[in-house]
Amino acid sequence: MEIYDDIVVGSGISGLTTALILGMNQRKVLLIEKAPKIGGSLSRFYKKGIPFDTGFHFSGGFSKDTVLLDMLSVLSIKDDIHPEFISKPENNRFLFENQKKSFMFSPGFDQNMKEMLSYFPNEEKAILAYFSKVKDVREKTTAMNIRSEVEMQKSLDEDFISLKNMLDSLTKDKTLKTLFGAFSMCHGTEPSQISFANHARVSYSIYESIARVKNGGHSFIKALIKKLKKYDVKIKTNTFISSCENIEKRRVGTFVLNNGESIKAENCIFTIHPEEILKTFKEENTSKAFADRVNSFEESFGLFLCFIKFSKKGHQPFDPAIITLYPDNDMNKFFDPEYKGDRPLVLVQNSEEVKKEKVSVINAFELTYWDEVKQWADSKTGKRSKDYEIYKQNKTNRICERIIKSFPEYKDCIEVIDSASMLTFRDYLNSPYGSAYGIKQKIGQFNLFGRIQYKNTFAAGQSAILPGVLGAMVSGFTICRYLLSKDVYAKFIKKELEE
Amino acid sequence: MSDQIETMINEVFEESFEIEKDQLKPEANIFEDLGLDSLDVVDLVVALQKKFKVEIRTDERIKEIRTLKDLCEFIKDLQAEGSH
Repeated sequence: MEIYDDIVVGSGISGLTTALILGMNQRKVLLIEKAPKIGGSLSRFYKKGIPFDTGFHFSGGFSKDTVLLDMLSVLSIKDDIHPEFISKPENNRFLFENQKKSFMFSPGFDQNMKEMLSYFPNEEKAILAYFSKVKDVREKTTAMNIRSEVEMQKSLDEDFISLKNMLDSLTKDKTLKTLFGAFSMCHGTEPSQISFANHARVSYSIYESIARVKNGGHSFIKALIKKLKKYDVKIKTNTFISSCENIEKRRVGTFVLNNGESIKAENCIFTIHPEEILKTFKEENTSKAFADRVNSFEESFGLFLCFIKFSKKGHQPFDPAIITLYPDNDMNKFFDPEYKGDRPLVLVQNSEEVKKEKVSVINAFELTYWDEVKQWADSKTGKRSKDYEIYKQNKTNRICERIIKSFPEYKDCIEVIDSASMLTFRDYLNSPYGSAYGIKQKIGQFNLFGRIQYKNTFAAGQSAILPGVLGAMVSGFTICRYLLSKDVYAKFIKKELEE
Repeated sequence: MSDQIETMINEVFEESFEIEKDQLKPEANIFEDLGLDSLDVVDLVVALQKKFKVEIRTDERIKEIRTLKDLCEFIKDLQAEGSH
């Protein structure tokens, strides 16, 4: 039987981060991944030679001394990740399709506030209050600082008020509220259900700066695999834990893999979806309270993605840009799962190098919910019904229509290379519902994070603290702090940051 | 009122942790007598939150709870705070 210090389950950014930190600290680590390839939603795929992103399109946190840069330094991959900043305001734009209004923002937290003030001169009080509250939450969130020595993140009052209620208390202007709530697209939970605090935590770093990364999530995967090899972390793909066996005194004795192999480990850290964790636990050894807690989580929203090639004679390759189209200015309406009309559509434009030539691409993604594809849930990719193909075609056509309506100059220049529904994401990325951000981050919810159910099982990942690359990586660091003990961890962080 | 809280707390232990009714005495220690582990505390909090429809924040007072009676007092306090 193979024996490890730690098994890390799932090779998305959280699993890669966790496995590497443990490996760097001389632990014998096994990293397992259900899919044939490492990377989870960091993965890209190629069609007609063009690379397209699946789950990682852009991130905040690349400017100044922030937690993301600290984390990349500690993992010593900072030099392998090249952010491409969105610097011109026209490249960070929000269009209200019905109102035919457009708002553009320059990078920088204070700059965003100033520009918001210039667009809404009569809303000064609301704007100043909103931005100061966002900043205040961020400053009080010690967990977003890997140098912090504070043991536990204290709950703030803002953790118990919804984004919707907070915005309603600040202003009556729907357009302004929608702009305040704009980065809800980056956490996957509707404004009536997420806390103001979590919205602020996600939004703050995006106000500071937005960047795409050269070669997308692939650059993280490549750099991290190289480091994992350096520290002798064993990697197994096409592998998952099928059951936890020999449970004694609330400790899992053996972790049984899908190939029948049994493995002993001091700790097992799951960075996968909470429902998938529950599946590996035997019912007779799992408290109903734990199962109820996992089953009460709801799924965040998903994205319907169109992968588009843009070609026009004499056209300059796209600079990185993010343009969000809102059908109208009522945010609560178009985030409502019951709503039937158009939902927010984000266009991520950039150019990729294909055979030494720059090709302009647009990743167009529209917010969607699982209910939309639920009827085809039993089908597998490549073998779905005609109805489903029609659904996909209709979605794709509507997305293109909306793009051309807002950008008439794009007519005859866009070619849809492929499209992906939540089912596509489910089947390729092995998440149970193919959502964008794991479980919804609902107010008052206790996520699966830290030690769970058995003494040697732990949970981290994007459902654990906050979604997105930042939240997922922070969850990995926090788990390692616990596993390594806080003194060892503090020394390790200090040493790596000094180098 | 307090009897009702006690009954509801007992229901949580029976339903969510499958603990026999005759073990559920007010002076029973949640960990030593009823066999819960510190691992179960968050699951317990979530179950209580749902049962009583109260908001339980990560609260210093939770750490002081040992017996079913302590838990009953804690819930009573929470409900009183909520009704201000």
